[in-house]
Amino acid sequence: MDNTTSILAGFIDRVGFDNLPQDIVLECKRILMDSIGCALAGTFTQKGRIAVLFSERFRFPPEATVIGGGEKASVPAAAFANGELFNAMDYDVLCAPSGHITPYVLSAPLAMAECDKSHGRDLITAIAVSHEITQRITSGLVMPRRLTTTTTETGIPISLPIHGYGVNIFGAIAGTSKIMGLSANKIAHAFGIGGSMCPVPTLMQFVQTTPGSMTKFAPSGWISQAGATAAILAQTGYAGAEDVFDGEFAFWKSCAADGWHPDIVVSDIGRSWFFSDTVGYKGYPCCGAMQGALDLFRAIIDKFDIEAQDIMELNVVLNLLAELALWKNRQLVNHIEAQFSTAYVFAAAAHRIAPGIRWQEPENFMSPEIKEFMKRINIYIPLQVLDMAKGGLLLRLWLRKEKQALKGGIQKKRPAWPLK
Amino acid sequence: MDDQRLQEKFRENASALLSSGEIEKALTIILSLEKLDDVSALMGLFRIGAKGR
Repeated sequence: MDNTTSILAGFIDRVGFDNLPQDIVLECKRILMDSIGCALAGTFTQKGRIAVLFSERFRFPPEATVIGGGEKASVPAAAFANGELFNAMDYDVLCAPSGHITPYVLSAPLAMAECDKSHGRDLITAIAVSHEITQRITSGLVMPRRLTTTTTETGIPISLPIHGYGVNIFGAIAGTSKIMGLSANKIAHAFGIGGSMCPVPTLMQFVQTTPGSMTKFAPSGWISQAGATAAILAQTGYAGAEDVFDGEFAFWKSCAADGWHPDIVVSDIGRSWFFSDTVGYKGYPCCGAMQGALDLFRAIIDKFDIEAQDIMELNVVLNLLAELALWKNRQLVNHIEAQFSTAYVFAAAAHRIAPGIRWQEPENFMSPEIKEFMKRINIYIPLQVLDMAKGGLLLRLWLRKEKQALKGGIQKKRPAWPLK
Repeated sequence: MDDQRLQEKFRENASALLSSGEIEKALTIILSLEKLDDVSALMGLFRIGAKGR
């Protein structure tokens, strides 16, 4: 199949607001709402502040708002800053299975829509297209085994659902091109330019390295800026590879994938929308793997009025991500690490710190009291605690004696594990 | 996450930078985005620095 690029570009060129199902329209508005809120709070993080300061060096032409900033900046600079801000707290929208898409694909079309004084309907269409294109291209990639890691405790190999977020650049290009009204041919060139700008896959390096880096999975600011730049360049006649997804040396090889399924990428395109069923919203500013267990933990401590000092031991079972360096980390030096340290986020919840920007404040993640509490938290993966896994349990609390009379879902006896 | 909780999350995240009136205005615009003539009318709400933080 050697016409994937033209099929995708043609879809972007043709689709309009009237083609969008109502549930897609609603989801796009929810994505925008959540993202802007995350960006506003994200301006209080170090990563967010640096992004805003960076954009101030590129104020001309003043085309688009830097969220939480003072003046407008150029479209690529605003796209950079807002892309960083959307993900600054790791509180942003998740799109299964790869995870973070929105911070990479929303800010460029948003900046261009403001610059062009676009109608809200056009922005909604661009948001839908940007997410749909990304999900489809990602679905076609076969992830490489060479980026698998082996856990230290169990020897179990871990593969991440994606090996880098550079592929999201095509969503940024799709949405921006839609706002700009580029022809299918120009969009194909923009894709080709984006394929050359796409960063190498560094997701496993990020999750296995401490101290945690602000680039995270791949800088959402840079991908956004590059997406805007690619669309602008294509509009002005800058030529990219017109068939970046096709042929012997197609994009999937360039981005180190093991294979490519173009039939999946273009399947029923224009009639079915993939992305809206995959969208989820975070209740806590931390990795998605912790969200469900945190919900359960907070429900328990609220129901039984358990204070942090009542908890002698807390055992948490997560998926295999818990074996990776950033999740196991307990020596936090920056707010990025606070987003992934399992022990820290449960300590923050135990101390009833309101989920949001306060979880990312150094006075909390470096607090001696919090650090001390983190010593009482054990993190396991299901294979280490088969008795719990069989019962579908995520948590066990071991409480001080005066709290042990509690009943109704809380384990009152020290469990037989950890099995070491 | 249902609409009510999502809006509450937005209010919590925006509260340090926007007034309650600005927050509700932003929510109203986003929820009826398909009726907005000009996206810049929405984004102008989020330029904070010029108003002082």
